Amino acid sequence: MTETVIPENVRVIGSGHSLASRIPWTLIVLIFACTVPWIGSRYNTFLAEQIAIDALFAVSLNLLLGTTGLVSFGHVAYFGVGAYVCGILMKTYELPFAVAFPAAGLGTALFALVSGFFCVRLIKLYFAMLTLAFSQIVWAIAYKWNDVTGGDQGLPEIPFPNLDWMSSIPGLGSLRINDQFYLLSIFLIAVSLAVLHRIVRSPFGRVLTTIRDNPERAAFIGVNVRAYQLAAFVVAGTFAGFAGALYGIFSRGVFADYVFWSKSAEVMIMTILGGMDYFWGPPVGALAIVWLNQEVTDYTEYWPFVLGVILVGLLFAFPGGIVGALGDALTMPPRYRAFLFAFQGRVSRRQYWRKWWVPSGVVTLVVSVVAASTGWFGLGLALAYSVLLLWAGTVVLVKRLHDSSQSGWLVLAVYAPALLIQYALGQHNVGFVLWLTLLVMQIAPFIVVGCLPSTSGDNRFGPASLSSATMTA
Amino acid sequence: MLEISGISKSFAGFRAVSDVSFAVDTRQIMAIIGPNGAGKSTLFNLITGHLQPDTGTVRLDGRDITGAAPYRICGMGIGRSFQRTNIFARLTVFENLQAAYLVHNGRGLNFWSRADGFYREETTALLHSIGLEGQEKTVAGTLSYGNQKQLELGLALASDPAMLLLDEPTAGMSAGETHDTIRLIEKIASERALTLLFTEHDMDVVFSIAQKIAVLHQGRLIADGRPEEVRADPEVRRVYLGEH
Amino acid sequence: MAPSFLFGQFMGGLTTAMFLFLIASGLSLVFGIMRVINFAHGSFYMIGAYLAWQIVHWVHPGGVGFWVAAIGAASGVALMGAVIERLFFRSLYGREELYQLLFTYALVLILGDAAKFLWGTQQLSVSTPAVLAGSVQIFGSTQPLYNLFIMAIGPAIAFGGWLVLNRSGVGRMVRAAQMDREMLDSLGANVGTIYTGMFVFSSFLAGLSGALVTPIQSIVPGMDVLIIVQAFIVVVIGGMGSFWGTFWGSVIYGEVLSFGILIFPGFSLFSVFALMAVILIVRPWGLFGRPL
Repeated sequence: MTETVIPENVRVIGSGHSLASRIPWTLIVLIFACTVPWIGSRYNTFLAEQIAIDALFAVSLNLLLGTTGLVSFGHVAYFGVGAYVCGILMKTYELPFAVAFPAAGLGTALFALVSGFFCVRLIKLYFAMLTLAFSQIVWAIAYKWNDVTGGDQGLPEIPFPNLDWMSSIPGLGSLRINDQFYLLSIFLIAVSLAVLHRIVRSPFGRVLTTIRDNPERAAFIGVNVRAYQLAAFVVAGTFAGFAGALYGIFSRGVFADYVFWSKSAEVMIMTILGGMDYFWGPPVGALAIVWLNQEVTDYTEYWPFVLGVILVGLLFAFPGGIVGALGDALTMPPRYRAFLFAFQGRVSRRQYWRKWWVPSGVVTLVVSVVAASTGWFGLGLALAYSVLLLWAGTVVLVKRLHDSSQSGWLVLAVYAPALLIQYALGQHNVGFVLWLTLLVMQIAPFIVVGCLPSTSGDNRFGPASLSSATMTA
Repeated sequence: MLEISGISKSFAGFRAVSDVSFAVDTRQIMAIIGPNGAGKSTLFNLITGHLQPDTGTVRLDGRDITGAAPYRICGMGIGRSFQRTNIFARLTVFENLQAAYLVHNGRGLNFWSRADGFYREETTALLHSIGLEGQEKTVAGTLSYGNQKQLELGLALASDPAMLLLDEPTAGMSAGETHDTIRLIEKIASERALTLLFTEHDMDVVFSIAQKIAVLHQGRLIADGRPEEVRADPEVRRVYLGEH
Repeated sequence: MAPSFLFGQFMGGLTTAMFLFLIASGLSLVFGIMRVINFAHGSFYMIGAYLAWQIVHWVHPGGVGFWVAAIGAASGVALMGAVIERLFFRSLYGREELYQLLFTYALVLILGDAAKFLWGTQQLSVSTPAVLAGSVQIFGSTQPLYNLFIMAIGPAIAFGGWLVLNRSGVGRMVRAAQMDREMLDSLGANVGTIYTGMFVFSSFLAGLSGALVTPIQSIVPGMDVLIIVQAFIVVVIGGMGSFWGTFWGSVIYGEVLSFGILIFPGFSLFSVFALMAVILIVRPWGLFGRPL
């Protein structure tokens, strides 16, 4: 009875000493972010600030989700409290930013302390529901308390902070106030992220991960689990509050629907899409969602549908999120490398469909969207990707043939119809029905290969893979 | 060192543990045995604060610790391993043990320094003493079952306990592994002058190292004393004759 | 405050309650078995409403058409539920609950836009079936017949559901699956089929309630989100997985809303969520639920 049981969410992350990890990514991104007002349009700056604020919001959520294992569905409440406190202090009471901003953090921290105290006493499911309840309470108050929050009209026209001092810095004097505020936000967000990074890597952060992995065990190495969870809750809430405060000024107003629960869902999707096992996952997720949103809403009003599909793809094909998938690709544990690029061995039916077609389909879709909207860079990306796709696809086909004890050279027979038909189509025009038939004829060989029976036991190409032995379809 | 008196616990009318009393002396090695469902794990949970007893007290060196929170009991010098392996699956072996050191030494509230730098020597030493050298960077969830049990033991030891409660430390092990594990436990217990209280199914194990044995049956203590006495006890033989 | 007025408010609250009960019972059922909050339950409700409208449109409106539409819509949604459960949900069972929750949320997004795509954004409505049109006078207040019909259906389903769950062989299996899935599996029972069956039944209930609400409420985008929040609150108050809990939770919610508006007009929104929070703090498993 010495089986190894690997829990589902244990990801063996590649050793990270590849070339990719030696490049100072964060520094590059930071410098790039700072130059946007000069090299980009107003719209670019607007997008960049949106991404930065969402990144901070998502990272703060990940302190709960990825580091401590607390699933909060009401994180937007803290974002909202921060936004309202800062907005009210600056607009109604005309206090300077230097006072309003820290006050927003303080106010949010207090609210997080009180709400968190009740939330952490509950187990997982009820915890999630109570966070949701508190967040809706905040929303209801924001929506109804006309005197203070402006009710359903909200607080429009929050003033920019006084940034005259910025104009005295060489080079920054010529910027519009929006851009100056942008740089201030980037600075504040960068500092916040640095602090959060420190916290996650600290002994405190380490203890949080023990709570995430095994709260019972954590208690029995001496951890007062509730106290630590509450502390994490307050820290996460505070930084969400900072993000909210910046957002209120950035979007020139604070409104009740900032606090609606769908925003909690959105930030959670960002976090998981980017990869909740990695500190920089959520910012990547924020970038992806904001950018995709912008691209998609240009073409269609059905952004929720697209978001839903992305989420499904994420859950089924890429549980590690973008960073996880990238990490796997770049560090490429040997068996992935062998799977995709080595011609020896066999590929079972299940592997063919689940491990090749689904992920490559998703990735191709994403690359196509990216390539279609980014000019020359996109063209180069598309070209490079096509080469990789062709190579890996051929390898997988060959090995699938091997699995059925067929010669790998038959792959030529798989490609031949497609090549011939494409050539012929290039010369002639055809009606829709004929075109459809030809399309089916081109695709059919790939499907046939995928359905070929797996030879049980070893054959001349190698041992039967585990999944072909347990195949049901 | 540890004194249990009159402990009872019922779940919805079912008496899991019924008026159990016994004592463990300092540096003693004591085993609790009994058929399945006798209430051994429940008893452990009652001692370590995971459950609140309905009646009775638990005293550690005279101090009443009945129903205290698990993290406090750990802080008082009791370490525990669990029957179903309970480790931090997503952390590496090194990080698992290091976390225990961090908490035990009160560094848990350090928000600022890098966690990696603390207690490296102690962690490495502990790794070696439980037989996991070379596995520092292995993610704990991917360890073999036997290695996970060793890590389990290491976690219990990292808090520098005076007393160890081990819940079925050799469950699921082959004869060879059982032997190695028991030798390891014995060695560690004598090196660190530990008091040991453990539950077991394997009678060979029990009779080879226990200095005192308590027998539980349907939640009640039916025998308590030296191995020879327990082996000869008529009620114990009656209860076990069907089992063995 | 004339007694007839109060009675009217009471009946109004009861109607709301019974509608909610129809929906929330499905939600509670799925949670009781599968430990998953199905956010998409509201979407199933909405699709049920749209389907009912669609069927009435094709079949002859008024008269028998309505009942055909109601059953047809419920069955359509049940079928949809079956497909979703078998193709997608199944693969998520072993994984973290968070993934299951997020999947149901993805469904909300997808189904919401699908409905918008298929039926547009204007309000649609279905007329009350002729046999239930009209109203009665009870204690001086006018009660539409249709409302009374709904008030009768609610307890009927509750009682029927309770009977099945507690008295039949099928119900026993379901309750066993609720307690220990793995054990049931190893005993040879087809747990997968039980889960699918439960999900299908719950979808049927959702679709049915959506269809039945059409004479009273207009069908409009966003009704999925509105209803799921309310169903959620009801299930929290009453307790997950308990038919009677959901029943009484609905009644409490319906009456609190109905009379709360009289006392604190501005606060009803806030008070509902506050009630939910209080219950979760004081007795998380609801009035009739059992501690998890």
